[in-house]
Amino acid sequence: MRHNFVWSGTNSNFWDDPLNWTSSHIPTSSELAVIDGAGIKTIQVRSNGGTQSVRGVLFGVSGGTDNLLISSGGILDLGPGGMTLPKTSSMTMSGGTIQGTGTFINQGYVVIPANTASAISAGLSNAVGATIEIQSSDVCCTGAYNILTVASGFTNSGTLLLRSYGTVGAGTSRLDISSGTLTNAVGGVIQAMGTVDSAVVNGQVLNSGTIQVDRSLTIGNTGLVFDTSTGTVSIANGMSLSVNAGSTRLGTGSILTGSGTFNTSNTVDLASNLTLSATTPVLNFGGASNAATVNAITPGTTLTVASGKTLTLANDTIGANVNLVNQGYVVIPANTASAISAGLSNAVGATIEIQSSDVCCTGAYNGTLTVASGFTNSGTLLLRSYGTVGAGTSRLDISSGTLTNAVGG
Amino acid sequence: MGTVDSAVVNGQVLNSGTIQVDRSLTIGNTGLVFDTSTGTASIANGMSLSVNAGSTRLGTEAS
Repeated sequence: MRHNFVWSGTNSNFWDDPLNWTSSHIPTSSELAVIDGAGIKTIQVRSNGGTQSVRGVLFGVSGGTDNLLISSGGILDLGPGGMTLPKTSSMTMSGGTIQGTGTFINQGYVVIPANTASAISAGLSNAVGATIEIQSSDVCCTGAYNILTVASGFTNSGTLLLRSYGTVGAGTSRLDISSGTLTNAVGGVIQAMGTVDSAVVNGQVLNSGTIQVDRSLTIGNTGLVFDTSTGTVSIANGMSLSVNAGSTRLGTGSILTGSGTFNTSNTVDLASNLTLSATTPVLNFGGASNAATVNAITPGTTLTVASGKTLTLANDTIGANVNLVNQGYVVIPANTASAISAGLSNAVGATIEIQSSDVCCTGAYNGTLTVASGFTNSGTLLLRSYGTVGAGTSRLDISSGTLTNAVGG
Repeated sequence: MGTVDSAVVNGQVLNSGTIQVDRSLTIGNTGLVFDTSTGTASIANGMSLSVNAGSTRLGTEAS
């Protein structure tokens, strides 16, 4: 009894055409579909043929360039044999689905074209050297479809590319992870690129590789943890990485580079000490002005603002387990109130600036920093007015203990 | 510093460095000690440094 049926493609490109398979037999759920041989082959799974259920898909060792197309409504159901797309091959999912109990291992190039929405509910991994590209374009779509939905978390060791081909910003490349965690492994890259449009990843992300933000990227993180405490985030000038909700985890292993802007969620969790250097992107806790809290599991965890770096605290709270060590410049903008619940030090050469302005506020506080405990200032505490009519007040409150203005401070 | 508006520090201050008052500054000092006995307070023309309550400590080394 045969269990392997080999693609010949002698009649057409359609998977559901029996004449394209040996013995004129379309492989079934207990059989392997074998795609092998030299040359360029295109195989299309389409809606007309119904769900194509196989035990697995075996790409042979004879080489060749295989182009698997799962077009709109096409469904490929993988059994325990799964499918490994080789390095030499590609797959285009233009509204198709890969489902089943098997795992799809991508070693080649997978494209989700603009104006299509595809889904993978089978297991998935993106191997070293492999790429999954989700495209967007100007010619967009009802519901802004440029989407790949992956049912379960998976590991990316290659490249996940959210790529805009647009020029006017009408489209969004979107990757949705319905449950589980997208693990961007060491060496893995998640890259948003293109000149316009937006890019979105909805789901929990553990980044141990690199997130390359060459166009602005939003992490839809409601109720989840965006963990880049062991990974690299590189944000190009004028671009932003925004975590829209949930928790953002940072730590000693976080490498933050580029001259763009990193808008964290309203909750920031320090897994370990974090130093913001002069080359760190603009870091906005909770976005530019939303209230955010920076916490740590371990008491005494430090958040250091290094020399040459400016950190703006706008309605933010540095939590009880986090000591803020300022060696650079900390700004409390007018019309905001922030708090430091644990230790604070202001080093020689460092500045904490509390601003006020004319555009004031209920309660007439206008740039307020509340520090829970006394601290030592060896640098400059600057209560600075940018107003012209005297409407505002820069305010520093020390809830207990003594502000020691040291010699030289 | 600045041209208008006010500035407030609410809390106990021990000044051994410099307090530079280029716009008026109030120290909210209720029940506390404002100690500038070893520090410098420099107050620009037309501006004021006001300690609103508590105790103000001065001494030989104050300037």
